[in-house]
Amino acid sequence: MSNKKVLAYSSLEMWFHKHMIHFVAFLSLSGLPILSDKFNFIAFAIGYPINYFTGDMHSEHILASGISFLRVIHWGSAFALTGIMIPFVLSMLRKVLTLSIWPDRWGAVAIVDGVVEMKKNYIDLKHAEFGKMNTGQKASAWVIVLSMIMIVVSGYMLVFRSALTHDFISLARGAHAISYIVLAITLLIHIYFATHPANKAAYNAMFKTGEMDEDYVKEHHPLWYRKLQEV
Amino acid sequence: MRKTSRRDFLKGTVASVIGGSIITNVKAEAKTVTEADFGIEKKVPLLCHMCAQLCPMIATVSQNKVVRIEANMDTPYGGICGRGRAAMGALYDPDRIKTPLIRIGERGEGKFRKASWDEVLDLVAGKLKTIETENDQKSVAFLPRFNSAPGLDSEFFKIYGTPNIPGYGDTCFANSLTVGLSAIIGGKDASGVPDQSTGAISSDYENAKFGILLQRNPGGGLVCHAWGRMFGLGKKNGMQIAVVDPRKPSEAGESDAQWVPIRPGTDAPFLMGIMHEIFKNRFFDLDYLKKYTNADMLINVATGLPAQIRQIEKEEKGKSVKVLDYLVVSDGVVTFKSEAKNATLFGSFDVEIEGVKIACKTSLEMIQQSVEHCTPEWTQEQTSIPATSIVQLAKKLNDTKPACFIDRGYRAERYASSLREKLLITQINVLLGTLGVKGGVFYNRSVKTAKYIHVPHATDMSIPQWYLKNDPSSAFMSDHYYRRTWIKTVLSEKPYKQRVAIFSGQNIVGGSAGSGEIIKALKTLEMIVAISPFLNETIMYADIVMPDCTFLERDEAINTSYKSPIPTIGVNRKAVEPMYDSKDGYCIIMQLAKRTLKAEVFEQYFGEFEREGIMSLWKKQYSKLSGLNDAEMATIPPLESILNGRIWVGEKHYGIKAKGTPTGKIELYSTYLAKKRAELQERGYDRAEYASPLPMNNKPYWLEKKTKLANHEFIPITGFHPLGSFTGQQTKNNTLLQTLHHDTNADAVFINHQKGITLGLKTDDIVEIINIDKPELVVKARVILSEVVHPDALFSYYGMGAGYFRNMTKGLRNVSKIGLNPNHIANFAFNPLTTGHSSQDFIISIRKSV
Amino acid sequence: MREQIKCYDTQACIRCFACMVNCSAENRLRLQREGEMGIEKSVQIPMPHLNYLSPRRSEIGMYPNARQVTAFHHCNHCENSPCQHICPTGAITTRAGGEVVINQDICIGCQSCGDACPFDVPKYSADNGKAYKCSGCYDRVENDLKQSCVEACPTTAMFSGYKENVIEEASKRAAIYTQKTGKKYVVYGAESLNNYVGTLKWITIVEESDLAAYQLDTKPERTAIQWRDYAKIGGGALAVATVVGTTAHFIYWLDKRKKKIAAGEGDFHE
Repeated sequence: MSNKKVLAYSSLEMWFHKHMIHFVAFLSLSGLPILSDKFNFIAFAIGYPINYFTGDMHSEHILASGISFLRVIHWGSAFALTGIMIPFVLSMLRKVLTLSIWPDRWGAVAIVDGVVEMKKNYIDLKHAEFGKMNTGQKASAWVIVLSMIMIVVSGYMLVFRSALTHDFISLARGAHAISYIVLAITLLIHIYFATHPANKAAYNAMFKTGEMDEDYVKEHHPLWYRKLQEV
Repeated sequence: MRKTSRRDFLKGTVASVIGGSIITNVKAEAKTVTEADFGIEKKVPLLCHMCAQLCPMIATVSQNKVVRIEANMDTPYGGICGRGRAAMGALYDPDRIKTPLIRIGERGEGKFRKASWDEVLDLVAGKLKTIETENDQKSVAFLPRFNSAPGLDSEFFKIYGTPNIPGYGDTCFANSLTVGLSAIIGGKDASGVPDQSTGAISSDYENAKFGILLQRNPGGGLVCHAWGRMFGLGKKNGMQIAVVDPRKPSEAGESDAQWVPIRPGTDAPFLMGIMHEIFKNRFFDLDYLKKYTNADMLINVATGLPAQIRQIEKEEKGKSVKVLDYLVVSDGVVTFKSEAKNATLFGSFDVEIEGVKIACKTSLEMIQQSVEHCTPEWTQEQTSIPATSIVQLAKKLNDTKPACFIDRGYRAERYASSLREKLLITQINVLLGTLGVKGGVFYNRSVKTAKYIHVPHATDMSIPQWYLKNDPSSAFMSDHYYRRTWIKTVLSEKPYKQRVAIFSGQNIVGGSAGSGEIIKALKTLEMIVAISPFLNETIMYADIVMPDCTFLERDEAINTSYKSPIPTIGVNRKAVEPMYDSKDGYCIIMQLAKRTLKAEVFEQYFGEFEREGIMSLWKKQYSKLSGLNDAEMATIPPLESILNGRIWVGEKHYGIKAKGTPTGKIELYSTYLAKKRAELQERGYDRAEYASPLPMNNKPYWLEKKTKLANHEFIPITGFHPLGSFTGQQTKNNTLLQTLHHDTNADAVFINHQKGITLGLKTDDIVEIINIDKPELVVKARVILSEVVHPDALFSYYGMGAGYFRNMTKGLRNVSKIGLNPNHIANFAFNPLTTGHSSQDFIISIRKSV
Repeated sequence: MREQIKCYDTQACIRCFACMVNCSAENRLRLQREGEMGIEKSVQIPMPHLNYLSPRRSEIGMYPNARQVTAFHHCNHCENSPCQHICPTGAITTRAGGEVVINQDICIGCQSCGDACPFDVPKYSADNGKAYKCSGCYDRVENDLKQSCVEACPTTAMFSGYKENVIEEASKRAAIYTQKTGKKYVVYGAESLNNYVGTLKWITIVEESDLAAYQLDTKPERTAIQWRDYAKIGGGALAVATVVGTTAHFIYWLDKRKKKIAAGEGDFHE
């Protein structure tokens, strides 16, 4: 056992990821009541104290106050998130070709192999031939990136709606919701695995040190390890 | 009633949170609904003056504010248009004239100082008294419009001693529309010219199967009560419409209205083409012509006069009346009509009268021959209407007769040929046997009230009387609508000098063609007084301005003149007190009378009004109603009920008859015109043929100048905007109408799309427009390229553009700063004989503004 | 309260715009009634958002076979009211008489209603950040008065009443026009247009071939908004499935791990 460490995440990535979590949480909480009345309880929770002070305890008005407040949060978080996204995206673009989101191998066989490896890891609980990211992670990374792009673009279309036709705005409204739903589901899975006890090393790397033990990498991410050795 | 208010979903207080920034706006407790909330605090009957048609309506007054306007549905033709609905916008227009004003700048500059009522009234009364001491009252002209003091105002000026009360109808319907009807059906004598009102007849839209509209947009030039309503109900009953107009009006229908684009000013040859088809295919109604008309009259071919006439007495409704008897051919024998059994309608005859052989023809034969050359192909060449359309329209008239009509409209004065157009319309309606018949055109009925003030007989000859006598080109002018001829008098001092003009609501600069000359004339006057609630072009030239209140702020005389099939009585009541420092017309006239007239004269004519107010006028008017039958008289309600908003209406009658022609017949061949034409020829008048009783292709002025327009040249045609009213600010500056004016491009000019492209124009370009005769007056307007405008026409909504003399737009927030008002740049021309204005009879040229 | 509907008859209309003026005027009177602004003041301010009924003009054909068509743009008070469906605050409701209304006090100006409306109806006022559209004059209707546009019409081109009566009159008129003009007239909106909007409570008598000219959409849709609805249902199901799936996996993992440790196959980094 060596004590050699491998750098898994840069400090920028860690910083961005951490704040992304805040903002996505804010955006989700504030957006969900607009998406569906199933989440009105969030708006009520916010609206109740507001209206307690204004003295208007009519339930429809509490809801309206809550959603109004949440809209402010939503817009504020969206702008802040865009702000922090800029350095992150730029730095990612600089090394875009070396990112782990690209497949290690191309083709249908590779995908089947990737799935077999995932089964080995998650079902059989055996060490699998993973890179830094396995096939599922790569796929979800793409889903997350694309749905985020959709959300941001459609969100800004809704902000600058006066410059657009009714058809486009309506399209944006639909796209914003649909891509969020896709993102949210993906995030649920992502969070599950991220917080899974088996992935404590990666969790710690992302939230604490940014590093992983080389031995751990060698064992759990042999492809990545080999790549690291080649460099 | 009154179960919920809009606030009912709000219980308790309301806090609204506005997105973005959080603003809490605590509102008052939702109040309980009271009657006032639904506006039934007070209902006041009004007669709408937003245009000139006085449609009955009801104002709802809540907390001393007019809050809603509705139609008064107490008549079978109840209904008001969007203008009336927007009356609050006029009443509460912040740009109203708020105090009396006295001019401090040059005339036309629009610089005034505020003045007191005493000051302005004394100034005007002082001037009137000075002129009286010079015994020159005839040099004062009072020019009223509808928003003044009916029953008192003209009367005051006549008592003062002037015979000159020039009405504004010569820029509208007078006298082409009048003579175009009365020459054929007869009318009252107005200084030698037969007179019929604009509301004399209606097209029976409700029962017609087919009708042709010429230059008329029934929804825009509306007369909502009763014509607009009748038209809509007619469409609902499936009435088919063909619109012969250089521009397709949407008001006539959009899915189901045939549009026949016509070259501007060529309505006469179009109608002659239709007449040609009627004769060629024997589409006329022979029985009708035989029974009711003088189609059988023998005419001396050489003179155009009846071959021989004699006066006979005839029984009519138990009274003996004198009529002209004329020669006809009956069963091959020449005899007088009164003795004829079976008069011949067609044929040429040599008739021996007092030993002389005279070549004669029946009048129908002569009319037929005069349109013989008007084949569909000829008509196409004149009008640009395809020959096939002429044939089709004539056939459709025949297929639907007598439930069909050619609409005579009411705005007549546009081209030199306008009188001819109106005559031909009447003649065709007679030929088809539709006049007086259900589904055709029929006589409206009306009731008359008693006169309040009987004015003394005028000592001086009035301006129109002089022109009727001395100027052959004015032979058919109206003796009460002659403001253009009055301008001629101001400029020429014939028959005498004019020194003072008092405009009450009239806007002659904006509303009458040839504003340049009109302004020149106004500038020569010693004093110009304007009484009006709103700024207009004429007020810019006034020395003294008196703020009249609007119709919502005053009681008025009982009104009985409506364009309605049935006799109708209504009254306009005061809904709210006059705003600002304005006064109602009666108050202004009483003040002027008091300060001008000798005490005993004032007492004689106005003493009662001073003591009892307008109630004395109403009582007197209502004391004697004439024109009704016994059954109708039995239903007349007490005066109070009229004053409370009841609209009394009588019966509708169909019936074929003449209304006072010399022969007592419907004169398809007008003996009045025949006689006048002979006289005019004798006097050497070069346009005597414009008075011909036969169909003639009288040309508009523009066609005399050029038979073909250059690519950049157009004829400026206009139509009423459904939410506009002449040049009046009550609609033009009305904030309630602004959004809709904008939505409908009310201030733009419209030209044919293809033609616009060849001129390198596109929609929303700004163009410069000039009259080719007056290139110095350049007007800018926004152009719209349209598929529904004839290539020779440039269309604008009447009076909606700022025009050339637009100084006054500075004080009017909603009035467009650009746009065409054709009157401003038009030639100061007169239509032959009728002296109406040739408002669209000149050539304009346009170019892209850079 | 029975359902009431309105009908506009393109044939009997003389395009005088009385309906549109009266609508604008009535909405100003409402401001006075609600104590927000007196009528004297409100008729001095244009406030285009208070014109719930507007003309949209276009030209059809080429000279000389051309005409202008004035489409009436207004809320149709859809049976399935997509605006109401999407409104997050519940500001949009359907009254007992069938009018789909926006309660401005609850409206937060998110403009979702406008995005969902296939007729592009709700107008947003930037002045006060709220959405506006025709309320069907339900305040008048519930007090036995006619809608202000209907009341204004001088030619009965607009009429209203109980649904079955209005549809009966409209069908009768359409039949007369079909017979007299030889062209087919239909009553737009009387029958369900699609599932997105259903039937309309503002129906229109129009010549069939002119439906498009009058901007009467026979397939009023907002595809993206419909997909949004499907996604909400699908997304809910997927979210549940995900939670169930991950929980199951975790239990499976715990169990398997226990067994593996028991079997001495350990070596799990924690």
